[in-house]
Amino acid sequence: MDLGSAILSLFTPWPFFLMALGTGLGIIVGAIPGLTGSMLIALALPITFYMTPIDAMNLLVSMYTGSITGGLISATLLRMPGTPANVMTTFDGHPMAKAGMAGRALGLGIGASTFGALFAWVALATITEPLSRIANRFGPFDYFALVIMALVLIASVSQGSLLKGLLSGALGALFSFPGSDANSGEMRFTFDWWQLQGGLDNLPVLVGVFAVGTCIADAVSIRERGDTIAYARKGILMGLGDWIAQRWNLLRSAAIGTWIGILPGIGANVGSVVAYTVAKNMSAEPEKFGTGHPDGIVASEAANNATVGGALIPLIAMGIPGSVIDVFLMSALLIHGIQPGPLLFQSKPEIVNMIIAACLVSTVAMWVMMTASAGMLARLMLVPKAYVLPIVLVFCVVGVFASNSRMFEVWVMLAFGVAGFAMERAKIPLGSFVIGFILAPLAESKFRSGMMMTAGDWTPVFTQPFPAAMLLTSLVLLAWPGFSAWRRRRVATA
Amino acid sequence: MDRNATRWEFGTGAAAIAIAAAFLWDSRKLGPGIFEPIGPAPVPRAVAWIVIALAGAMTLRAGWRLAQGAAPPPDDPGYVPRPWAAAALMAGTCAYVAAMGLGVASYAPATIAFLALSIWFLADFRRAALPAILAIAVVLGFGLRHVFTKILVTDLP
Repeated sequence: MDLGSAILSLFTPWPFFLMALGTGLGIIVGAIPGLTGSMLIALALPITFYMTPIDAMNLLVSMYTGSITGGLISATLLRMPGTPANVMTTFDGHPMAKAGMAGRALGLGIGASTFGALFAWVALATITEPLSRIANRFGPFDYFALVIMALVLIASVSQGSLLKGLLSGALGALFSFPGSDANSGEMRFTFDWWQLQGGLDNLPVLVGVFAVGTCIADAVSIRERGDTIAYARKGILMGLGDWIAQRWNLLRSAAIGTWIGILPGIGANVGSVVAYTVAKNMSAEPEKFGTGHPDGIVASEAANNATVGGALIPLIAMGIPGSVIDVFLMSALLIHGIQPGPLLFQSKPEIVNMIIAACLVSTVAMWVMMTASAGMLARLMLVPKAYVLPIVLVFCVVGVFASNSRMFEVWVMLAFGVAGFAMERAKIPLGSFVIGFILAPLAESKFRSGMMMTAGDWTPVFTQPFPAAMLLTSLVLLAWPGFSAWRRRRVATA
Repeated sequence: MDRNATRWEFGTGAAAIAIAAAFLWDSRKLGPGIFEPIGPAPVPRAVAWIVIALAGAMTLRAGWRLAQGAAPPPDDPGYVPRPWAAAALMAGTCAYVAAMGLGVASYAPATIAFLALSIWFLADFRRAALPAILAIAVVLGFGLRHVFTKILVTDLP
């Protein structure tokens, strides 16, 4: 199945239904503060066991696209970002809505989101295959160094300190080790507990950390409510004047979002922050940012949606998740026995083409749904969390149990839920944890393969150009916060 | 960082050290590689030491801040934290899972009871909400059982 056929296939009844369902659910979950795309995709993973890999990817990618955009509604009308990716949208979306232009604020956001997603789609459709051909030549040490760089990169840009980001990634890596050792078959870290002989499955850990942990955290602040604004439809379609006025901002922000998406491990949150900051710095009227400036909404939304397509590029081409949500997509592929990475283009081209096609068609569906039903979606934000949280917990329990029919995994999920909650309270980023958990086995197996190839000589990690460059980049990323602090102190004392 | 977050930081750091120490302890059972230069132990052992170093630094920093008197959380009139609600919801979920795991109740009745009680509890036991809550609980209890056992053909507890 080539890309054209994959796109056309999405207009046949069952794939179309899955795409529309995924996009719609993504938008709804994104619009409800506290529920995130990661949570939705984690909950949908067990359902995808019963689908073909193509249908599963169609559904999950559509959910991904919808969830990033849905958060725009609550960010604008409630001043509560539906997902973390929409934080920057609150700064200008809410003031504009408060000034009686809720429809225009949403219209700018929807238009920019669609443009950003389409821009990134072009990159996804054109860059991925050449990049996978390059990645095909990677040796074990190249991969090892790339994974190390991805872990350091996500730790260095995640919220909070670098120390906490690194700790989170290392902890995630530690929890990936129990079970049968892939190289020797020896049991390790089972603590003489037969239930751990199969290791910790991805699903209970991911659902626990992201869905259960979020439910517990939300229950603490269950009465928290933002400043709600009535929705007015006027301006919901971005006018030609706005398209022309925002053309450079759109292009720049979408390019930033796509590039940040391509960088392994970082996703929409960072993309929107960087694009917003750049738009503000380049604006002729930076003082208007934060007061309802159209440029702020456009920059944030174009960038966060562009990261969706951008983040899929390293996942498909190299098997390295471009964002936290991509970890779930990677898990879905692994559950179906498909290893993402450069060989995917040769072994399962139909999967690659479906991911790319779903990304395009769900973007168009997202635009239609958001434009047509923004008013209805605005009412969803008023659904009390008291109803939502227990229902989400029931879905977590039944979904994790149904995956392997093991009650042990449900307990694992609850334990990781508590761990996720504790980490969230301690302001330790969860994204690094799941990336570490997913990527550590890959890093270990590549390192050990490399050591076998070189008969125990690990110096090629530092002497071969690619791994050396990756490790040098990691070192720079690690040293940068200390260097910046030193420079600031020097400027302050001068 | 306010006092609450610092306390969580201290506790989480200490727990991370304990977990990494347990991994190091268990790694003593692992032998050297048979047909490869390094066996199954060195990489996890290195990661465990990294966790201990990082968590140790975080715990010490948090302990230092607590000893110095970390600032109390900022006063936000629109925010009423209810930690006991989260604890009760978690306890309820554990009881729900235990009831099914121990065979005390099958999926549908356990789910109906869990949903009805937990939603009603989180909704501050408002009587007016009870009919809607019961309806949601019954529909989801029987509905999900039907979907998973009849349509997806899978086991439920």
